Amino acid sequence: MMKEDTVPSAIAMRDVRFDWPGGQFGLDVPTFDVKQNETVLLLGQSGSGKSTLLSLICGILAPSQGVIQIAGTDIGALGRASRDRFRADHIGIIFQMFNLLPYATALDNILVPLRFSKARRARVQSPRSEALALTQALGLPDALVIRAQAATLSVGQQQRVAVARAMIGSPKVVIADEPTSALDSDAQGEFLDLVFGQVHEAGAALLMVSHDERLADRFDRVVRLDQIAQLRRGEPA
Amino acid sequence: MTLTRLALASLKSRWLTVGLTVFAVAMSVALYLGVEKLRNGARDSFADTISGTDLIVGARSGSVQLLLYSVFRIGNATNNITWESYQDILSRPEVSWAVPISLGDSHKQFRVMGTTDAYFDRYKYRGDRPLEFAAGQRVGDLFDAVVGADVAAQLGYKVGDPIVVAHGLASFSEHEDTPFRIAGILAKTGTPVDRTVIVSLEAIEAIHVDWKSGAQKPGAPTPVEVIRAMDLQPKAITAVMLGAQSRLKIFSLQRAINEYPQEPLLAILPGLALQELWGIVGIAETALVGVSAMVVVTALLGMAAMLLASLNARRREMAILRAIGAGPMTVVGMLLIEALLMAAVGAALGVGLLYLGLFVAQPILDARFGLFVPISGLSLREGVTLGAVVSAAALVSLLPAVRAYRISLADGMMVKM
Repeated sequence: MMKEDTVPSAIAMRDVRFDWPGGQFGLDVPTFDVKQNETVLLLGQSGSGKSTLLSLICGILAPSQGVIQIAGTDIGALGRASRDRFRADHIGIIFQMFNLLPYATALDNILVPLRFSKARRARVQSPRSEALALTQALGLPDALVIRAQAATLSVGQQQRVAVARAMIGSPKVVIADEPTSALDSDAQGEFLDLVFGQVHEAGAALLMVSHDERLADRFDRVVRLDQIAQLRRGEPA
Repeated sequence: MTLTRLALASLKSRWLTVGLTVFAVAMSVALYLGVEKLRNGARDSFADTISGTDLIVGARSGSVQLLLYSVFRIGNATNNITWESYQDILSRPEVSWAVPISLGDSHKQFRVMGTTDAYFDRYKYRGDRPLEFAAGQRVGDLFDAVVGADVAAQLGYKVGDPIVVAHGLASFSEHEDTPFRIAGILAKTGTPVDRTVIVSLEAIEAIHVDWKSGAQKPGAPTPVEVIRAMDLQPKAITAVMLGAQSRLKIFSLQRAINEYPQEPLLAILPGLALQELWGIVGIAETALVGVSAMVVVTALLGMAAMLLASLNARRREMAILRAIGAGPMTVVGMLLIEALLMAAVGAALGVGLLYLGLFVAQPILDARFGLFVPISGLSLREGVTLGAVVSAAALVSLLPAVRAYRISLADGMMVKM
């Protein structure tokens, strides 16, 4: 373990308690950190509180107790609208699949986050050319990015567009939720290389959730979800 | 990438359902505006049934009744005006001109009206339009008749055809012994004149030479030559159209006639009586507007239902928007923008359909029904109506929008099916 405070945390959770409305389920995270520039693989099966943890980190859900700091800001203290804006400003997200708005072009999909975040837009000199630089780095031809509707792209292409969208405006935190599970194993390796390259270039922290332990050796650190989070159920608060 | 562009792209991807919804809104808007235009056209046509006449005088009854029988040829006069009273009115200094009319006879299903040559000069409709002849000319001979456009069309008359005028309104006792000849056919006016047979005032007397108390005198009919030699000045007329020397004199003239001591008379202002009459027949018009407004509401509800039905299929889309930083209100905003876009395009398309329809229908309506619908720009009222349609669209889409808000809040960035 790194010593506290030598490197600032990109994600820091302390004594976090979350109760689903109705009090049937709850999640406790006593302590969890992801440092700046660190890549962390979070191993966990579905149903182990993975979605809830990610929603807390992204500020979709607010904790009942405790502190969640993202890039130094306690997002638990923010209002709902402020958390949405904070997410737009500082976090890039990649899902398992269906990342894109199917009716828009790949380029429009990449540029949408800038619509929701002034801070991100300010970090981008020329949105269009930076988006195309990203997709070129990710191995996507310009013509495809500019003209094709997202729905017409292959799954692998869609995932790369999703990476470009997560990375535009250089967020400090990138969250990836099983982004490789829809890809075959050859494509998985290539895809992860691309993600790591972009994350390192941007100097961002990467938190990737997966149930695939074979990916472990690529990451700085591997954490099992049940080590950091306890699921409570059946005991109304 | 603005929200509007996003909404447009989203709509475009669902072009068939969206297209049908927009078309439904367009049709309903076109229908509503069309009914409005027709309604105004009908009211103006109605108000223009008679113009240029300052007063209509008849035996004392109600103003609507007098208007109905003297202008619309509906119903009957309760009483006549004696020739002496007519002369008295004529001699008043306020009177500029007077056209006597005599009703009570019919030809087939059409009314026969006896009048003077001045009728063709003084009767005006739709602003200041005079009667025009489609064929032939005015009443010249004692047995000349001029028929309206509908009469000629329905009975297949040409100039020179002989016709027989019946006494009374039922045609069981026809004046077969006094055949008339068609001297002229009037052009279509869209007024009751189209359904009238016009003869001279004297001709009405001539028909009745051999009649007394509604029955034919026994014996041989009086020969036509004898009738021509007779003094055919009528003893009574049904109504009088009056023109005043000046507008300022109309009311004093009206009062004088209404207070005429020798005979109970009634003088009415045609415009006022027409308005009164429209107040009665106008109820149907209100119902029509109500129905077409309901059609617009139905189309908008259809749009709301379409948006609502699409929400489940779009949960993924909403989750993506949330993940990249959109708040639930942004999702709601996008839905409202979609509704507004559909309503606005629908309304604009509806206006297009309206004018297309008007261009096609205007000559047909004018020729067939005498209903003149002017093709003018949108009135302020119609503009307000269009604005109301778009606002109502926003209002009805609040329902799917609120639902989208709830879904978006509950789903967050993970879709839980």
